[in-house]
Amino acid sequence: MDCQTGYFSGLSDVICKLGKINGFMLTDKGTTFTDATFITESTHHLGIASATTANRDSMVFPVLNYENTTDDVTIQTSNLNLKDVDGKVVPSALFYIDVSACDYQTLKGLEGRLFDVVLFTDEGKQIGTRTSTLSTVKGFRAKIAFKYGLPPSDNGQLQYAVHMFFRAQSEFENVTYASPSYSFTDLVDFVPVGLDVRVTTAYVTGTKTSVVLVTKRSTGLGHIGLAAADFEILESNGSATVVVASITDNGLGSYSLVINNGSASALASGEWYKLQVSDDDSTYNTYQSNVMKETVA
Amino acid sequence: MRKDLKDKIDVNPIMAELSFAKFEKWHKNTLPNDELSAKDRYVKIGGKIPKKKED
Repeated sequence: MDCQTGYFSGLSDVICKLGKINGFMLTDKGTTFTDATFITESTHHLGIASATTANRDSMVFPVLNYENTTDDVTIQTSNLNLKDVDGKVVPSALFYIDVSACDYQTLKGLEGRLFDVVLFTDEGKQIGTRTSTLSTVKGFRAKIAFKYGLPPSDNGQLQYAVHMFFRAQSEFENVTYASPSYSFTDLVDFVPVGLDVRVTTAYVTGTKTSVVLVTKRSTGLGHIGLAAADFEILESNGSATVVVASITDNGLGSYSLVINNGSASALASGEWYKLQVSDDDSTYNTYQSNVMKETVA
Repeated sequence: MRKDLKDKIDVNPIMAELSFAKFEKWHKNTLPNDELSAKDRYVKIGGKIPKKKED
């Protein structure tokens, strides 16, 4: 409870509804916007699909259904029957997102990470929170978790659940509503088409070569025409900088990758790398894969 | 980034950061079946081959 003097502050002439949440955008923890960039379509296009990995800090998810799982506030009743609210509850929600099984599988790596979450409603509202600097806006800090198990037998819309546990009630006190000129589906259109990548022949130290298969998500159609620079090593415990030095296109989405550890050496046994494949139009990624990890035997 | 579909092999332009001598050795060991010579491949990815000194 704020022990401050309260003042009346008028009422709006226009009564508009917030609507229901029909999507959310996960942004990297610490991502902030100005009031202008918060509703600038190109800002979110770069955040979602920039061809430069370091500039990609956002991802949007359409929502099919959701439950508000926020606990009820605790009301204490004294022995004189006087009531007071005890503490403040932190919001939480269970979202059912509109994705495929393969998409959902790729989300596991996001579990436990803290994000700043921007919410969207079917009344065209974009909701964030104003930071203490007042000139910047951000999403609500939250941690996400997923459900693993058999598909539900009754309602197919409830297959892909995302728990969202917000971390700060105060952010909801400083909520800010924006009315962008774009719709949430415009942002969804910026999301690169999903690719799947997996190893089909394990890394051979002598030739420095792994063979991978790159297919379009869900259909399994081979994705052809990739260049060596489209195969990006995101992480590795290699002793030097690990790069995909060259590729040979075997057709039907199969590529032989020459992976160097340093300028020309091979990866050693026990060393691993994480690889992501993307296809871009120079500015934006148009295709983007899951992250694949291979440890050299 | 789309590569020329006729070209089966594509080398990461980052390899042009190697000296041509090192690239040539890597090319010989790693891409023995490349249709392009080490010199042509190096130039294709943006590498510059040092001119020989004239006597």
